[in-house]
Amino acid sequence: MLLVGDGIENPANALTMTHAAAMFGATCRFRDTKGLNLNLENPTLPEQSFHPITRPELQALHSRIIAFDNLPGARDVYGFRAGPDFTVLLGNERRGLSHALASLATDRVQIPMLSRRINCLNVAAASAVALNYLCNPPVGPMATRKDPRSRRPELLLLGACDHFELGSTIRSAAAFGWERAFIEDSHRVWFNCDRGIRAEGRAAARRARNEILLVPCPPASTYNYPQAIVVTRQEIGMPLQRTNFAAGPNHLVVIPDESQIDVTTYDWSRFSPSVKFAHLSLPKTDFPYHYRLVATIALAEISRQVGRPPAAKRPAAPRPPIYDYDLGRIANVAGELVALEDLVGY
Amino acid sequence: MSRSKHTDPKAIRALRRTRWPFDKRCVGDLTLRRKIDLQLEVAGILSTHRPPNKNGQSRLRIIIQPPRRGFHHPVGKRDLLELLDSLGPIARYGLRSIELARASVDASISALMFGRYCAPGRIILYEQPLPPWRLHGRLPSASLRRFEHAGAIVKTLPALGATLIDWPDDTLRQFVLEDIFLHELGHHVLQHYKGKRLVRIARTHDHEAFANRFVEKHQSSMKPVPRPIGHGEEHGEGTVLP
Repeated sequence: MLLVGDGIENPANALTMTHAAAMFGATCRFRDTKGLNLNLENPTLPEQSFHPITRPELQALHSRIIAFDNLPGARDVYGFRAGPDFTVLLGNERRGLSHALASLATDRVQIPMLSRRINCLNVAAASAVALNYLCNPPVGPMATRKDPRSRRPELLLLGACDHFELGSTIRSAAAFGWERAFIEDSHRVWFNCDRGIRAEGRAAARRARNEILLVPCPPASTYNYPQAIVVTRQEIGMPLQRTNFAAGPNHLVVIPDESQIDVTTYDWSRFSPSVKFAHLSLPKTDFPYHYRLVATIALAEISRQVGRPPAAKRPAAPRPPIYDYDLGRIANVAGELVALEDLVGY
Repeated sequence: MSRSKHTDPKAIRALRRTRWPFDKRCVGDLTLRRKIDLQLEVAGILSTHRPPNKNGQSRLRIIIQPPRRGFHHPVGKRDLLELLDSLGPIARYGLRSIELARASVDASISALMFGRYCAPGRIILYEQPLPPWRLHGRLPSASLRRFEHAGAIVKTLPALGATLIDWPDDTLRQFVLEDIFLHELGHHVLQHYKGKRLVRIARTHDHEAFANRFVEKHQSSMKPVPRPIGHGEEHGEGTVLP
């Protein structure tokens, strides 16, 4: 499996894409048309270069090339069967896939978005969702429900320590249809933080058009939900796809930042008397952890189970009147046998 | 009330709307405007033709689809325009297109299609087989009368169970023009003047009856349309055995 970033501009996104590929045992390469390797002057990034790939190389590597973008005619990633050997293409943060690579694609796949205002995810988060559904055994299609809001659980983002990661997760939550989310901001990366951090976090969350309501929750406060489901990368509890998340707003889904919180020792009883765990199905356990990747994979799965309303059917317009003028059916007369000589003579 | 535009006779309303299609209803004094129009028309300054649109083309489109082999279009574009001119604005108003089209491939020869009116404002005249027409079976008496009235020579062949219809000279063209086309225009006039363009505004029987009355009314008052020079090229070859 190969993950290809096409024209990625931000080196931090490129690095996170590399880590997302590592989560699923895939390799990650970049078609560098925006000077990605030239932008590596950021001191916060480790010294590394991103492996480039060209269009002919890409064509030669795999027969199945999947364009992962909201292109016309794209199918939903849920239930898509990719097979064992494929390349996934993800495009530039703002412009999407270039025509040069999109034209190579044998399949077009997208993540169904439910928000009207946030119609795309962070590129690294999208690559994680893509690899999660394309590498794991296929799941069913997105559910169709009359009132999906009645099945959507409450969301708590717990203890995020990086404002970029939290911002991207909030963006994903809005894109997948959440109208509100609780935030337990124990590291002060979202509320009451420095101006610079605040601005960067809001930008990552696309807060200018992101209408999600964020509810601050004091640390160590107690909740009384009938059931809470904790999403983790460790193999505790049920796999994500087999856990029922569509139980409605009486249930709470907690996504902790596992770089700061040890799931096995944390006191989960303050959220609910009944706590369940759901884990991501990952082939590797040792990979660089990114909160946005794990959280977005979980949010995509919950969104699949919660579903979307059925597409509205437009009533067919009445057919305009048509009046024909024809000869009318001619009275039928029984046929008769004619000899060939008579016919020639005729 | 007498000056209300809503009570305009059809012919006056059609003339006004074809000349000033985007005017508001309340513009101008009708009496004065009609007087001026009449004077201009008498002086030859104003014509009853629809004004050209921005591209300089007439708003009425005439689309001609080449006929299949063995078929032809008995009327041409010039015939249609001349007939429309002779009828005045009442027929042109609201008419969007006239199509000289091929009959559908699966249409049976025993049910010849002559024309069709599709609301709003679309008239289709179908190609016809080259005469003489040899039809299997016997024609309904109403169709026989109509053909004979149009000048066709109808010969029934009871031994063969067939009907032979020949159209001498210009008779098929006259039939298509003054019977079929007028009939479809009748449908258009009834449908368009009700204002409910996409809604069936009368029962089919009543619609057909109105179209027939329209044909009778205008046939009697119409001058014969001269045959244009160079008209009548036959597409296809030989005669057709239906």
